[in-house]
Amino acid sequence: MTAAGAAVAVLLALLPLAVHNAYFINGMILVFIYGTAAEAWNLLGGYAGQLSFGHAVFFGLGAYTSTMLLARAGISPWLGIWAAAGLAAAVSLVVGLPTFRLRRHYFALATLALAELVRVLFLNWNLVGAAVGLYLPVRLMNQSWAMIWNTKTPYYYIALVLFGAACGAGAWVGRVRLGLYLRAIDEDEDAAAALGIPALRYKLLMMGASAALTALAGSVFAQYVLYIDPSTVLDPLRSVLFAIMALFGGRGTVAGPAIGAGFLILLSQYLGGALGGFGRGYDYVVYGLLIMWIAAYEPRGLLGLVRRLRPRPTAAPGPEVRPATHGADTRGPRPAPALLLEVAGLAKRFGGLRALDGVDLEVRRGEIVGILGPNGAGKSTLFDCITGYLPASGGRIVLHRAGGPRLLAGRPPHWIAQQGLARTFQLIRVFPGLTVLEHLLIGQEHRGESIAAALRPSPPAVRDRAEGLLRFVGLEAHRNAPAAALSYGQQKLLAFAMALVRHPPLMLLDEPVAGVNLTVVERLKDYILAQNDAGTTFLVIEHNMDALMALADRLYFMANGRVVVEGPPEAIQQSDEALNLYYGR
Amino acid sequence: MNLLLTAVVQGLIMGLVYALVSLGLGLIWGVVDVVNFAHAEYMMWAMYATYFAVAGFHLDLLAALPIVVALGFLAGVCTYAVLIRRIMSAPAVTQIFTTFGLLFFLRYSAFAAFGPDFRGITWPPAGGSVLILGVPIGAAQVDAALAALITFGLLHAFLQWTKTGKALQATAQNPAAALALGIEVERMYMLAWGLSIATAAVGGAFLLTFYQVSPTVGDAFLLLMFASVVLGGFGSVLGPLLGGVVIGLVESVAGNLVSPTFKLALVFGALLLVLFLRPGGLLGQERRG
Amino acid sequence: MAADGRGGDQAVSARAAEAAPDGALLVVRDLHAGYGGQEVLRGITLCVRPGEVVCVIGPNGAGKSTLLKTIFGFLRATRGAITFDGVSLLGRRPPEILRSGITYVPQGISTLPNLSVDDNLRLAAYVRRDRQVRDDIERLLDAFPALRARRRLRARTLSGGERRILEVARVLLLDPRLVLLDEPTIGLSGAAVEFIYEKIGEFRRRGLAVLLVEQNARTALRHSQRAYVLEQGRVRFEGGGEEILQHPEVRRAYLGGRA
Repeated sequence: MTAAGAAVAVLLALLPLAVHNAYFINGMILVFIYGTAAEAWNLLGGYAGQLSFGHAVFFGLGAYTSTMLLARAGISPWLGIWAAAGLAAAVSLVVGLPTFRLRRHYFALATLALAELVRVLFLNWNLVGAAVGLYLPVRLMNQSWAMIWNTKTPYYYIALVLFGAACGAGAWVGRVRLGLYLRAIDEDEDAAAALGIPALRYKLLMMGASAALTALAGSVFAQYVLYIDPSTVLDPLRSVLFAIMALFGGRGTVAGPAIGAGFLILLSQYLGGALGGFGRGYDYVVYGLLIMWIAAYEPRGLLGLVRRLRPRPTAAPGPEVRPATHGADTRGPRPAPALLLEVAGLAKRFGGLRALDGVDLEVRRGEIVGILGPNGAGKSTLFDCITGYLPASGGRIVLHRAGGPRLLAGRPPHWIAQQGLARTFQLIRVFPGLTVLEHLLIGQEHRGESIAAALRPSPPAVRDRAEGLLRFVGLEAHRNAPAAALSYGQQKLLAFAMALVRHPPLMLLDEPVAGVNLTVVERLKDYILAQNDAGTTFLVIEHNMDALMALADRLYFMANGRVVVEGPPEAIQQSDEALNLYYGR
Repeated sequence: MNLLLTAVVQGLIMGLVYALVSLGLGLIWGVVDVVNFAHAEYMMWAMYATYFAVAGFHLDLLAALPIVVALGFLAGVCTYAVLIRRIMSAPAVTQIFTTFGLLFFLRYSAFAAFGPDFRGITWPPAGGSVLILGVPIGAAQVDAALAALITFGLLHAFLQWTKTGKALQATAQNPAAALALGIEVERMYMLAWGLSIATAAVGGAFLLTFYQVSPTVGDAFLLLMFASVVLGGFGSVLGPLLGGVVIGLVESVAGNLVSPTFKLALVFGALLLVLFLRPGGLLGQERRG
Repeated sequence: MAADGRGGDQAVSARAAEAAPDGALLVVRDLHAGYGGQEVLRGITLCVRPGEVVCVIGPNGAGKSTLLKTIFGFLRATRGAITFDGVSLLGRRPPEILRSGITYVPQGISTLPNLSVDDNLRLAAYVRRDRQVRDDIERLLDAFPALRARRRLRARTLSGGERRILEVARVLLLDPRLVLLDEPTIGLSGAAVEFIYEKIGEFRRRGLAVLLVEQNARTALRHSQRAYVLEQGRVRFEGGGEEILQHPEVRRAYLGGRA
């Protein structure tokens, strides 16, 4: 891929020496500028899965900033474009903070509205020329400091370098930890948070980078066309085009947006009229048809069509693995354990329904504590409140750690996860598109991880730990298979291993053995006991009585949002109250 | 005071028109759970259809209306059957992408067919103006607002008082439960699309009596529609009605009292505010998924 | 396993039809089904006769709900046979299956929250074309006075128990021959559970067949003529309700075994 990329770069660099057709060179310059914007859009929309339909704002901000600096203050665009990039990044962060709270269509809609808002403002803002727009000072023609020439070749190379940088940024993100984090956030933000990945931070980072890069494209565009107004550089259609190029080529890849931009712009050129200039609109009709066709038949875009032709790697069958040899018998008597998790008076109401009605619960270091109860007792709600996925309506949740007690109520899930609290979900939540090994790599400790660290590949220690856990749960033969290709039982093992990577002191397991076959049940039991020996404390919801009896030191029996009985497993098994509630009279 | 009254009456009337053209967007969003970014383009095509029926075939607007509405219904059904059905279980990204493709296709095929010219019709009953609370309002706008009220009334009656209407509501609330009751959910989706585009067609036809059509007319309406639906919430007929009226009022009051140039900015500002504060809309509740 | 080709499946279903137990209304033979690549049902064979309450118990994830969903056409069977009154149900969609005389009350809340109780009942009779519906609803409301008092209220305002009663009541409007109930007493208090089972008993006396999935196994077994214990998508035990209730192994594994 890198060799192919380098070859393409050399070819593109030599192109103007061989081809002198101005019409074609113009097309290529536009491909590079739009390609840069599409790659920039892809940083946010492709990798992080946040669909923005407002990127024209950043394109326009870039164009206006460098142009204003040149026309009004005589500042060279060579400096001005960086000011433009900085301003766009700053604006994007201010916009991103509230907007990232929205998901799905609402985010797309908010960005669309923001872009319209900005366009209306610019249309009526006299300082920036309002509806008339701004001309670049053509008297500075052919002065290199002003980045204005009457030939196309310099623009070609500037745009090419920018495009190369944009592709490079995309490739880099795809190669380091950050890319994995973003894909995880895209596929399942809640599950990513359970690992302690701070989604908002990385989304903002990508938003800023994406906005800055788009602004650079806008600046260069302004220098090239020498005239800007709100209806060209702030056109909402332009936002949509950036998105469509990336989606059309294949989002979340480096080649996708580049291919999309090249294909759509050259198509448009040769269907008559360059982008933005109104021909009869046939080009857009064809776009529309292509988009609908590709969305309905190959959502991965053009690149996906190409990949279809190649055989896809599937999960190797791999040998069935021996169960771990650790057993319950190896557990010795425990010293008086210290309190680890304390839940007091926890309440959760949904409208009038009391899902949790004052739950008190304690987990001591080194214990395996089970939670049992009929469906609808509030068990999963309890987990969701402890781990920050649901706001509690009342009560206290305290995690006692070396650095002192920490109150968990009101904290976001990723923060709670970073305090050393790992969880699995009742319906397994793995990231279908990530490989088995990638799951374990993103499971690393995120507490105190800097952005700079996220921009590097995973350190060897994490890789070793990941490999070790792969062997531990017997998935090493599947290391490069996407999670979607695993069986249900294997996915459960994977979800379990993924949560173990960072040595969490406390693990919350929601029905770890439900729905898996008996061999996997036995294996999971062994793994939990082995991990418990290694120092992890467990709080386990489980319906499988046998498994729970074999695992738990203590049980809480819940019904109707309350703890009804508490005690050692044998005692619960003898409790009439619990049995009546669970099995009926 | 007089200025405010004028703004309020004008806003109410235009708000009803916005509500009418937005109604279908909310209907599909609520029933089918697909966000149709191409909704305004259907309205544009209905305006062209009306234009050619009235200016080309010399039909009266009221004679052309059933034809245009029937065509709209058909277009909606076909859109579902040919395109949307295939992306029902696709991720949101794909759904958004698809309806944007639809937007491009519809808008620019109109452009290719009719060129960029603005076209309008004159409909004699829509000439002159009427006094409402002492405020003069164009008769065309008043007619459109009446058409909106009638359409809302009919649709409300259909949903509340017919078995099929109830089945449509059931589908919106819980498709799996609806299927268990023997409701043909697929057919309900098709019906929702048909009704959605049909109501947009009513809106487009009456809009044409005072607003000229061009291929890009949807630009001005798309966000207004979204603002109305998001503001009012979907899942009921009353949501878009309330949302449309609020949007009309904001636009009119802001345009008359603040500055005409920033009236749209204020509308979009209102939309953003609602998105950030109450994504379920003023009336609506957070929906499934 | 690999030898089980297509021919083998057909042979099985042919045998299923021949070997259908006397007078069985619903026959499920070697049924396989699942979600995506995950097989949940791994060869289930069971039958239900008219006038019989049959209960399916088993741990979470055993495939109880999946079984009902597959019978009702929500899920496609990957292998095996389902016949109702001698006619195969495979490949048919829920509305068709409903019209053939089976109703299904899914797990969780399946009332339509924003419609009134009346509307919920009328939609329950959606597939009926006759004019008797109104009278039938009135008669039904006589039998369920709790619902009559709330007939104009939205279903969302009902308590969990009332909604469950509404779901069970609306079964009667279709006059089905087989009822599939998925955890009808989940989240209900003792009195409501009694009421639901009373009604299920009434279904049986009218000659209906009932296939019931329950977590609340003891109560369900006591009200069932026969029962199947599912585990890992297969039938582990089958027998009479009392017989299963007394079965030592079942007691130990699923009933919190005590004397």
